[in-house]
Amino acid sequence: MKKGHKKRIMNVWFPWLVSERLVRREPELAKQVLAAIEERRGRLVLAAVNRRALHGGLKTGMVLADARAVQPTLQTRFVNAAADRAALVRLANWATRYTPWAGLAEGDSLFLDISGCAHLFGGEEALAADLTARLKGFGLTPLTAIADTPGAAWAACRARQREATILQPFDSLTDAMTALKEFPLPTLRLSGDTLDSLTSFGLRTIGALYPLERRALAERFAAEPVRRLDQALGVVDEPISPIAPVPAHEARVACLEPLITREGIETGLRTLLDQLCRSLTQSGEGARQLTLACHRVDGTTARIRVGTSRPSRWVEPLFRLFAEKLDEVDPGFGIEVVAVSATRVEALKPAQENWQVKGGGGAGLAELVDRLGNRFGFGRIARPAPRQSWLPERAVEDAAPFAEASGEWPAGRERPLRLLTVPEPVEAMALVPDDPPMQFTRHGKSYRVKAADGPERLEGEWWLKDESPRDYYQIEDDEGRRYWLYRQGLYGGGEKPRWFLHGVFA
Amino acid sequence: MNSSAVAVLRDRIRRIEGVGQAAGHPVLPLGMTPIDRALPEGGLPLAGVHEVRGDGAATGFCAALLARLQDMDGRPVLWLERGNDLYMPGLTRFGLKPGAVLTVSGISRDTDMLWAIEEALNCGALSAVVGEIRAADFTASRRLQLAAEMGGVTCLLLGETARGGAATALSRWQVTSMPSLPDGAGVGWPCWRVELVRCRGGRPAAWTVVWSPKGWTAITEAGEVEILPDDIRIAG
Repeated sequence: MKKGHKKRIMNVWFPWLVSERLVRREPELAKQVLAAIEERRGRLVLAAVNRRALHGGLKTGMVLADARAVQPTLQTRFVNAAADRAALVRLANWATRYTPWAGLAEGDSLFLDISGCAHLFGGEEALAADLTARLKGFGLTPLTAIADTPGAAWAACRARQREATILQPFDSLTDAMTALKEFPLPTLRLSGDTLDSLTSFGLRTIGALYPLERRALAERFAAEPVRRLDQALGVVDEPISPIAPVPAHEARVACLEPLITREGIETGLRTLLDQLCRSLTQSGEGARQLTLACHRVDGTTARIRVGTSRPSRWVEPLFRLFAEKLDEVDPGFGIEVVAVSATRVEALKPAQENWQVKGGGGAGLAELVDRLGNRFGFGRIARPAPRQSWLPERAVEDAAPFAEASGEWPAGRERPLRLLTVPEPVEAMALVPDDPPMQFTRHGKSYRVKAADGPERLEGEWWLKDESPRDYYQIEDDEGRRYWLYRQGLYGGGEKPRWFLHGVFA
Repeated sequence: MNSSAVAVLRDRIRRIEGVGQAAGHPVLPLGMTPIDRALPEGGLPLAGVHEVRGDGAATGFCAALLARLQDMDGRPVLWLERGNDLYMPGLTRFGLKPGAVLTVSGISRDTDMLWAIEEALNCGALSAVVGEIRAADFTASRRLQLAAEMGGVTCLLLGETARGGAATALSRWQVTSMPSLPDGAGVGWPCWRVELVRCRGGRPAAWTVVWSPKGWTAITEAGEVEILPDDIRIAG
């Protein structure tokens, strides 16, 4: 294993998460002896306690009645597992300021894969110090550890119980075994039952497992202890499940001085886009969607997202797309970490870089489409293409701006220049059935029909035949304006035919 | 004064009026002699802003102008719609080739529309931009004119009524429907009253334009007919 390619994982543990969350909601609880309680087998027991309760002799698992006898002033709240989990999820999202690989871990803790990004924050020690200082600012008490594997970090965090424990990279398996040898067995992340039976055999430390034969261990205690041991020692890989999808391409920068101006953000953005585009070029991809995340001093994050109509990896056009939206970013008290990620990518071959739109155009047009699309929505930009349908509203398809042109436009049919998206009901009078109307009324104004062509009967494809056919007439009023009216339903049928205005001609 | 001196003077006047480039500035002949005679250099100056106002006929007029432009310039056309009712099968009747037409629908606010038109004019990859806009003030319209000149893109501002300012446009047209010429039974060929309200370097006038399957034909107020297809009978 080469040193440079090694993973570095940080475990962030919140030993007092439950009570600290309760205090955040009810600050007056801060000075109280506090426990979160839940019902277990018909009895109320303490599920979590705060520091005062612990010092006062209370422990998790204690029956509430006993706890009250020891600490008569005990304040209790029922456990809200969903809220505790939601708090942890929020913390994981917050931690994406350091790395996109941030996920939940067992026992009120988080895993952060900080491989290759610690240097952005001045090294592992500085990163740990920065992270704990910020979390303490939120009223939390975090303990952290950094090691080569999630298992080792988790164990070190609980064994040392310090704000920052750093296990130096393991050079070999022996090295890893030595590092974890003295750690208590419970730090191996075992389930309660497995831990109980191992302890009952007199095993106290992780090192105590080393001399045991693996097969015997697996047969006696199922696969769990062997798997956890292998994970902690790095014999098998343990992936972290990130809280948010991790983009394939990301660039981030931590700012020594929080950014408070648009110019500052722009400078950072340009540098990051430059890095991102180089990474995209290396992998032969282009971005279809990019996200800019600005992590502020107060722990909040502003995100803006832009899309492109085709894969792109050019700094300037992408920068301009963001520039249109940068005013939406309120720096607040300052932005400390800026990250740009390609949240959707597509393959982009070098040949495609010089593509042409049919009938001319080029990269300039693509940039324009992107800018219009980000302001109005890409769905509003279309290159109308013909579609095989008799129904006028279905005869045009909004093809994507750069899709290949296909199909022929039917010739020889009189069609209006403007087609109402929803046909407008009008009052019309015809002397004879199947004749064009003599006049029609729209918005209370009546129009005298001077000339008319029709009917042209149009109906939907057989699988759409849920309505009766329409008879269309092209109608000219006495001022020369032309309308496209249709009648639905036939005279003499069960229902009275209805008239609609569907379009206007030139 | 000989004719070359006249040409030089004309040129100087155009520069003063700010039509931009002098003689040799590309123009789009409409193919209707009476109208082309009223336009500077015998056609609609390209790379500038023109206003077209009126009812449905104005949309048809724009489509026909763009169709003629497409024959000269293969770059795509962008049509910026206020609503979402532009219907391509109807536009093709006026010769528009839909393969190279891009549309953006639902730009209902004038500020958004102005932004979009200006962006499109600056892009330089288009032959023309149509913007359906109600009104543009002097500053906005001046900006568009500059962008059109710089980008070499022709801009048509299409709206229902001619309202206020926008005096910086190269020309203003008012196009309204007229009763069609009788063509046997039923609806005849479209007939428009086309009025050149204002034109820098040209002279205001009005015509009756008939659209037949062979293209368009202009008739002057005085009844001067250019070349009429044989099969059109003129009432009166």
